[in-house]
Amino acid sequence: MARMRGFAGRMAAALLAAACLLTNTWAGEASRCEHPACLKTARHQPYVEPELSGLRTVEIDGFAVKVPPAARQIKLSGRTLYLIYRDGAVLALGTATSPPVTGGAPTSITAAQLPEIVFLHSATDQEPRAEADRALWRFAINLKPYFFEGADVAFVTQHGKTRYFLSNSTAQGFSGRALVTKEGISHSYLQIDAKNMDFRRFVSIVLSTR
Amino acid sequence: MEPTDMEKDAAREILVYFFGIHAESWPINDRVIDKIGEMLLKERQCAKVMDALPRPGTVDKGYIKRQLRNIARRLAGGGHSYDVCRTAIKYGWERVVYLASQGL
Repeated sequence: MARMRGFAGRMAAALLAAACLLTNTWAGEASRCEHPACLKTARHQPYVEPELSGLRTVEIDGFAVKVPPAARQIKLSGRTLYLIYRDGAVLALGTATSPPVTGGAPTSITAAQLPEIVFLHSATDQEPRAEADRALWRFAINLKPYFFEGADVAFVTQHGKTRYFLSNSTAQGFSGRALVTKEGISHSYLQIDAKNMDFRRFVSIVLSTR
Repeated sequence: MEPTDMEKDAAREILVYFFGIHAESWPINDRVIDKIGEMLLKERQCAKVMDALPRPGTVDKGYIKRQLRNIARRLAGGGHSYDVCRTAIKYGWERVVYLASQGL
């Protein structure tokens, strides 16, 4: 009997170790963000129709964006389209889906909700309880430095079914960064980044997205 | 100084690990190697990768260049343990590194 109990104990320990190993093979949770930018949030702002003329429409995965024509170079790499202009300005446009951080576990947070977490929540907000939701939430919070570092403008606005999240973060050498979501598209969001571009011009381009 | 062929190969392996096979065709220059160093040192989720490398007193510009092969080897052998680092870098750095590869 004692031998059986010993065997059962070893089995339980082995199962526990296997379970730990299995959970460790997840992409796992990111650590909590301690960057000062993770405490910042964007403000809401009324939508202002952008003043645009002579622009071309680029359609990407259900999003249509009006961009300045006559790019010197147009390059596609992976899921991102790069428009490089003669004046040195660069626009990068592409959609992103949910990051694989839940180990395949179902989550109630969609890709289209990630921009809201990045722009409107901070590292001090209550995290979701469910493990998979928390992994996604924490991942999104960890993206905040890319959108808030060096930014003195960060705002969120909405036009019809489209929501725009913008900042003039200078992180990584960019001059403007934006995420766009659209009602009816839950599996992805559009990311638009600009380099060497006047922020007002960038805002007009982003707010042209439908 | 222009990276050597061996440095370029190691850098390319690192880029493909983080960004996918489309990164195989990106030109490798000194700016790309600087960005690889910057992203691995700045991205807190990648501390495990960097902590595994021999670290001199100061991490100078040449350090990452000297460690490219080691980094590529560790990433390739790291399995799932580096997944958080990979995802964080994929989402946060792909555009920056691509533009650096284009001299922008």
